[in-house]
Parts: sequence; structure tokens; C-alpha cells
Amino acid sequence: MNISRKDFLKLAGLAAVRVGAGALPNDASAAVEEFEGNPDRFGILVDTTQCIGQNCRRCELACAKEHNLPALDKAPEDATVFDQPRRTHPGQFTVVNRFPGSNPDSPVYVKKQCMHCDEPACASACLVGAFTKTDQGAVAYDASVCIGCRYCMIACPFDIPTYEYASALHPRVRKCTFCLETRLKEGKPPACTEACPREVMTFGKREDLIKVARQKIARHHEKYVDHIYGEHEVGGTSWMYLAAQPFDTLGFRTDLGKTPYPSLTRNYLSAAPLVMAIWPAFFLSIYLFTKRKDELAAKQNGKPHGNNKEPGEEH
Amino acid sequence: MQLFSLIAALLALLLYSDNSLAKAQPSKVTNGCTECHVCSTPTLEDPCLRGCPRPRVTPQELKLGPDRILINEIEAEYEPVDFSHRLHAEMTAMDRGCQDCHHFQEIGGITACKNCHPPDAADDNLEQPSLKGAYHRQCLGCHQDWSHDTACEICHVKKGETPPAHAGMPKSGSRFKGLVQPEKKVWNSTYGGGTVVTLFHRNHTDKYGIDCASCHHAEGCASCHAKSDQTTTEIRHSEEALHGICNSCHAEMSCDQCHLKTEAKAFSHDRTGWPLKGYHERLSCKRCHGNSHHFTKPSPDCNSCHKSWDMKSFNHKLAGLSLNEEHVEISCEECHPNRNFALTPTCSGCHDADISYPAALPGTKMK
Repeated sequence: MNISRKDFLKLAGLAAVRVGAGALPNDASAAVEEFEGNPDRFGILVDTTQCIGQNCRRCELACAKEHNLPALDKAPEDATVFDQPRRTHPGQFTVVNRFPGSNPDSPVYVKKQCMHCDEPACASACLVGAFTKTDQGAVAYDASVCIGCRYCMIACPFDIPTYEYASALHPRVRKCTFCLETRLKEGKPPACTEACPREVMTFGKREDLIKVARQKIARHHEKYVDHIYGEHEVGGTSWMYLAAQPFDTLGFRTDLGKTPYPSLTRNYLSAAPLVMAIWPAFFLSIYLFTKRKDELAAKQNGKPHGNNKEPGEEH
Repeated sequence: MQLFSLIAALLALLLYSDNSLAKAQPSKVTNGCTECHVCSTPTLEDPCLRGCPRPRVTPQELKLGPDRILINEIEAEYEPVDFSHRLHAEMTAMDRGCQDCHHFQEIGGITACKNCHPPDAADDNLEQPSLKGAYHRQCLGCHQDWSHDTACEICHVKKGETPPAHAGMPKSGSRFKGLVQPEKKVWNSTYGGGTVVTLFHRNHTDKYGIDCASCHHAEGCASCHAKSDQTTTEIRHSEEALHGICNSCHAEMSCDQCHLKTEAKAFSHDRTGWPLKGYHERLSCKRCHGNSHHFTKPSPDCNSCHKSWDMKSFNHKLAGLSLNEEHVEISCEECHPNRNFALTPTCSGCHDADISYPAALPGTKMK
């Protein structure tokens, strides 16, 4: 077999990557199935057809109170708050936005907060592991280890984590906590959900909520679109939504796919340590091997009456 | 005699037992499968029942329902919610009727909301809201769509405060298609002088500013605010009551002024000798003739309405006549005696009798 040294190195490198990657799931669909969260983890089902938005925003008020956040910029009675779509910020972990409905008299109000992904991109992007998906279903943030790189903000497909830019000494990433410490750990619904007068949000085990959502769609198929947003999006989220019109008209991203975000980079990133370990040793051995060959050749060439033996035949 | 009483007793027993049997048995199921089941193959484990498979409450039973209901679940902080049940029941006729709210009804009576929706929010049933959620879903559904008054105080008045004014019903909404009103109504009466009575309906509402309820005060909401575009609203009144409605404004008119041989012609302001042009044509009647149902004759003096009207800056072209050089300088009174602009202008102040308006014009008519 005639193979050049360059080709050989190429093949060897590829083989090393294959070996590294082969140990891990390299199929995205396999990764979805392999997610082993707590089957009893909690979730919320948001029925956007029920939210009245204007004059209410009890969820925003309750959230601010629960987390000792500053008072809302505008009172619930102030309709101008809906003129511009809002996003969450360090002073507000949840916002209600208005979208045009099928009828000009009936706009649709959609509550926005952390979706608490089953496989969170923020956790995957975090260098120090400040984010964890807890057994209860919340994506929790640990400010004590956070280094402030804000990769989580770039990674999040829902643009949820926000940063305390105004804080000079101890800036934190802020987002909805699912009221993990104060309520969820005791099995109680988060503050926003409890405060909602129309019970737009249903709190329960995620598995049960999906059943409830399916039943709602089946019973009122004339009302709901046949889609539970968050059931499969980015591998599934703890917060899920029902709507009477396509989700892209309600400010939801429908281009996210069903693949969990961490699995998009897992193959590559997991291979990296293996490559880092194998390649140096491999190249070092080649280097040493060729160096020794050269040394032997030099030694033989240095002899005044050289013989015709090949260097490899020496031993 | 003894035999007769025995037979009677036996009959009574038979009747009673029949009756009790009928009571004990469930009512006969005559509905199709889909009335109760969502899926095509219901099983014992998964009967896939609809939420509300019970008989419907019909508007005919409206009179049996209460007029007002006080809801005082949270009376510690708020006044009880004073719910005008009968008024709301009338309104539901514009939509799906009583089952808009009474979506689940047990046989033999109205089911109280809290029988299904527990006041305790920590209920395990994820499929139905608690009492608080159920109330708010029912009330705010319409209050958001129709009247757009979703403020808490509309229903929940704080202790010691007065309830705010209701915003009232809008003219359109997603649940009802607005008002359907005819251009005119033509009735045939038995009156000897003339049988045809014409009512210019749209003129009465739009131009004369007659409030709908001043005539339609006995009908339900749905008779005008129909669910669909097709509606036939007939005022169901006695002859006296019907005449009373018209006479509240037309009291001085004789029978023959309404009861004609043929259909009447719509009112035209030209009849009054003051044809409306330009700006005046666009005004509602009320602007000049007062706000009451009994219109008053406005003063013909322009200053009576145009308070800041100034003769020097007045452009006579606005009256439809561009004055020529000879006439533009003279005072108003020379042609309009006593500044009565309703009368035909006179030329006799300056000219001989052979010159008169409108044969001879003091300028050119505007188009």
C-alpha cells in the first residue's frame, strides 16, 4: 500500500475524532429520547385565550412582590404599557405583551417568562455550571459561581436571561426562578400563577399538563390550534402554551426545532477533550519515531565505511 | 262500594309506583354519541366525555331565575358582587343563551358554580378552574369582548365606596354583529282614512337622534343585537302603546298625517323653505333645533349660531351667491330687512318694482 505521510496523518486525525464522537450520541433524535429528567417535574400550562391583560397584570405584580423587585413602571390600568412589546429585565422577570387577535376588538395577551427548558441552552453554555435543571422542573441560577460572561444570554433561544448592568459590584444574571426556593420546593405554584384571577396558568406535573392540554384541544378543536408550544420545542420546556392562532403571530419563535440546544454542540464539545488528549500523544510518538529514524540515519552516514543495511534492519 | 274503594286504592298504588319508578330511572338517552363523547370509541377507562353533556337551560325559563344574585365569597374586604342576573340572561340571547354560563346542568335544577368549582384553589383537578377562576373566566370573557371594562372595581366595590359607572355596551364586538336597522318601515293599518303608515327608521335614529330604547324598551337585547346579520325585530306592543310611542313626539299631528294612502316620502329640508347647502347639510338636526325631541325653530339670524360672525369678513359666496361690485359694499339690511335671512331678499329699497329677486340677481350664482 502506497500511502503518503500527509494522507496518513489526515486519516489518523479523522479516526481519532470518530473514536471520540462515537462514544456519545451523535444523533439528535436519540438525544431527545435519552433525556432523563424527573418524570414528576412540575410545569405550567398557559392558556393564552384566557388572559385579559389590560387592567390586570396581577402576575407581574405578584412576581415583583415575591422577588422584592421594584414597583411596575406603569400601573395595571395604564393601557399604554402594551403599545410596545416588552421583554424581561432585571427588574421584571415576567411581562405580558399584547398581540393582534383574529378580531380587532379582541387582542391576545401573552405572558412571557423563562420557559424552564428540559435541556436548557443557558446551562449548556455556562462555563462554570451556574445553571441547573432541578428535579422540580425549574432552571435554577447560582449567582455565587457566576463569572458574568453572559454566554447564557446569548445561548437562550427565548432571550430570557438579563444582566444587572446597573450594579457595579455584584451584577447577577436575573430571570424567572419558577419561585423554586419559596414555593416550588414545597410543591406550591409560583406566585404569578396563584395570583391570576382567570387561572390562565395551570400548575401541575408536566406529564399531566400535556394530557390536559391535549384534552382541551380535542374538546375545543374549533378554538385552539393543534399545537402545545413547549411540548417539543428545543427538546421540551416546563412552561407550555395553548393558543387560538398560530404561535408565530403571538411573538413565539417557531423556527427553534425540536432538538435540545445542548445536543447541537455536545458532539463537538465532548470530542474536544479526547482530541486534546490523543492528538498530542499521537503526534509526539510520530515525532519521536521519525526523530529516532533520522538519528540512526545520521549515525550510519557518519561512519567512514558505511554498509548497505536499512535503518530498520538494525535490530 | 267496598270493591270500588279497593279498585281505587289499587289504582292509586299503581300510579304511585309508576311515578316512583320513573323518578328512579335515569332519563332516556336520546342524543347521539357525540353529544357526550369526544372520541369515536369511548371505553370504560377513557370515556372521553365532554364537559357539558347535560340538558340546556332555555331562555323561556328566564322568568324563573332570580333578578339579582349577591356573590359574597370575599365579603371581608369587598362589598358583595351585585350581579344583575336577569339583565345578563337577556344579553346571553345574543350569543349561545343560558349555557354561556350554565354550561353544566344536572337534571332537575340549576347547578351552583361551587358544586363543581371548589372555592379552594389547591384542588387537584387540573381540568377545571377553582371557583375564583371560574367566576372570572365567565365574567371577564364578555366584559373584555363587549364592554371593554375589565377593571376590578366594576364588580368588586371596596367596602364603603360607590361603584364606578359602567362603560356601557359598545356598538360592535366580536360576539355580536352590531345593529341591524332598516332604512324605513311600512305598516298596513285598518284606519279608514289611509292604511299605509311609513316610518323612516334610520332618519329617526341617525338624524333626529332618537335613542333606540325610547321605542324599543320592552324587547330583549337580541332582538336588535342579533347573533347573525338576519333579524326581524317587530315591536310587540298594543295599538295604544304603539301610538303612545309616536305621539310622544308627534302629539300635534292628525291621524291623516301618518296614515296615508300611499307610502310617505322621506323628509327633506327643502320643504321648510330653507334648503340646506354645504356645511349646514352635514349637521345633525340637533345642532340647530335643540336637543329635545321637540325641535324648536332656530333664529334666522346668522349670529344666533355663528356667534363670532363678522359682516366685514363675511364672504357672500358661502351663501351660494357671489355679489357683484355694486352690491358687495352695501349693508345686509338693504336686501335682508330686519336681518331676516330666511325671507326672500328684497330689491325695493333701492330699485323700482320691475327689479326683483330672483329674476334679477345682484351677482352670479355659485355652483
